[in-house]
Amino acid sequence: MNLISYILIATNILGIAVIGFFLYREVKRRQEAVVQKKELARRFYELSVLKHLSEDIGYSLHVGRVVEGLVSTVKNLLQYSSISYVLVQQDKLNYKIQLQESVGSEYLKEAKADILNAVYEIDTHTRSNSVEEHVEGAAVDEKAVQAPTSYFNIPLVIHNVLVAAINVSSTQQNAFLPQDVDLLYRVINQATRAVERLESIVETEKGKLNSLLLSIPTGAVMFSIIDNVLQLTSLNTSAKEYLGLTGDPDTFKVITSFGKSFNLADKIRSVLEDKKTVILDDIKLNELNIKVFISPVFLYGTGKVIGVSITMENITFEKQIQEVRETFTHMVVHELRAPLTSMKGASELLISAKLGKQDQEKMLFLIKDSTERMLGDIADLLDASKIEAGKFAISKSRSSINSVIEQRVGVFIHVAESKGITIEPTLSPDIPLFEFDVERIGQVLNNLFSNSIKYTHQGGKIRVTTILEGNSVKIEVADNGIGVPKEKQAILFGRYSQAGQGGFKSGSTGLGLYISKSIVQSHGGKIWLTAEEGTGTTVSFTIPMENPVAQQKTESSFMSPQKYLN
Amino acid sequence: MPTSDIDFLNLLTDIIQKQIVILGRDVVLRKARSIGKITIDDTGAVTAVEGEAKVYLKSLIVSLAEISPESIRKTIEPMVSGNPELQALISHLQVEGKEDAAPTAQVPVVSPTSK
Repeated sequence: MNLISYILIATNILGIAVIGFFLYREVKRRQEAVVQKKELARRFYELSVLKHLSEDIGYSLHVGRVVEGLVSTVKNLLQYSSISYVLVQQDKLNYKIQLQESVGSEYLKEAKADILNAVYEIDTHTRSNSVEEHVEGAAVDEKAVQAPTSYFNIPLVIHNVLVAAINVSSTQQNAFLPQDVDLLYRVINQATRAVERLESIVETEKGKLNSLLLSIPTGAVMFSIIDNVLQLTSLNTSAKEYLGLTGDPDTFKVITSFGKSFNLADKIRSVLEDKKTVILDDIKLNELNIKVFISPVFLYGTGKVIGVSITMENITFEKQIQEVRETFTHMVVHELRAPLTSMKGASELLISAKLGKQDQEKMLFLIKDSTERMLGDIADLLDASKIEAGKFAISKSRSSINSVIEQRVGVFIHVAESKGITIEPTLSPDIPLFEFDVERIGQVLNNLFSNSIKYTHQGGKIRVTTILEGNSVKIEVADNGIGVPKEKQAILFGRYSQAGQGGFKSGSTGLGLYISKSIVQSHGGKIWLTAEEGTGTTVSFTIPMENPVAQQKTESSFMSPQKYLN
Repeated sequence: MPTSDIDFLNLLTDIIQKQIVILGRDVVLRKARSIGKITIDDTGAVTAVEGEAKVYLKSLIVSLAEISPESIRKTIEPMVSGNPELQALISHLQVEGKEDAAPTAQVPVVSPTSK
């Protein structure tokens, strides 16, 4: 061989080596491309599954739907003979297997055992649950005997509770690439965490809402439609109070607790059908007046009704106010009309000029009396209004309580005498001068004397007594009149309350004792009443003695009623 | 509470066999055998470990938690209740699982053969 031959051979070898190198590089590049492609496919799968899940989970926290969503995507990543899942429910396990290829009953039995054993191992309590089984997909081949030779389980644990498990099985050995399996675990873990986070948010918001619901004075009841049945899902403290419920009542008990004043079940039915709120203005529940709103609850963003909410507003106080207003209007009209009618009649007679001088004077006095009565009533109304506005004020000056009583007795003794009633004062000479509102305490005495005279029969007796009790003085006005029934005693010091009965016409605004109570309380004292029907009434009140100064004893304290007549 | 290597070997076997039932044989054996020099038969029984069994056990827990942290925590926690060190490791897994981060990013994995 000559040199040329050597050169040619060397050139060929070099050429082959170069071609071999490039071929090797190309093959390697292609292999890398395949690996990269596979990796890209995995990444794409991961992203697409997570996107799908984020959309799915965004709308629902239903684990079943999330698992179904996951299961439906696995075929894009792996080739398998079957995929199955178990949903862990309260008392049962919902098992579903989807066959990608025809398998035998032995395969079905083992695939089921593989996933159920995993479930039992994680949560032993599920062993007692019944199993509901569904088989879908390819037909079952009774002749096939092959069992799963490759499989793996993916448990879904949310907030430390097993909620589901997925099983992927194949009749092929080593059917699944580790990278694919690890990817699937990763994706499902991320989905589980997403559900867990969303559940935490929902639970937190639910907690906030429940706290709010529990604390508000409005009664709130929520019924949800679960499996086509209306079930109680929320009941706050106020609703329990209004309905007279305790503990954890069930749906039936809550519905029946609304009583017979209306049929709640019918109302709920009409709300569900018409999808409109029903308002019941005034329902009587356990002595309370309640306004009830029954409204449909819609699934967010849809017109689908998923439940009914009932809100209950306690309007008892408003009702009472309304009643007081009505009583007030009635009282004002009645009390002002009577003297005005008298005044009108007297005026007409005076205008007619047919009356003699004596009768004319009578008419003028009648007009004067009526005017005074009206002014008195108006003064009472103004006082009551000041008391309610918190603007009622007293003006104290040092004075003798006994003198004030004597003065008042002097005023009332004429009226009492005209009814054949005697007033007997028994005033303690030991009471010092002290600071109090002379006018206002006089007003209290006016009210008490006026009441006693009004409700005491002819020939009756009124005793007024002052007693020194430590740093206070106690004043008692006792009569042997008609008394006060027990059931009325408690309300006598309220607004517009009158004890008129037994043929006695009240003829007053009913504000006297209410104002008296405020006057006594403004002095730091107390006022109370003891009475027996048919026997008499004693009203007592105390006044703490402010800045007391001893006074000279006089015989006036024990004077006879005649003194006041002179 | 396991104290000796034998105890840890037994605990390793218990954990692997339990996880085989839960996750499946292929996955668990692959994970267990990938950590270090260990001899495991097909039933999941560990017959030999080269190095300290306790270190291997920690690595195994972390490795399994990579694929299913919540179920690993739920099922292994009761098995290591007597070992504060392993309990702390499990608790750490729980936190990591909720952060969506790979547990190995925080938990040092020591190869049993490194000593």
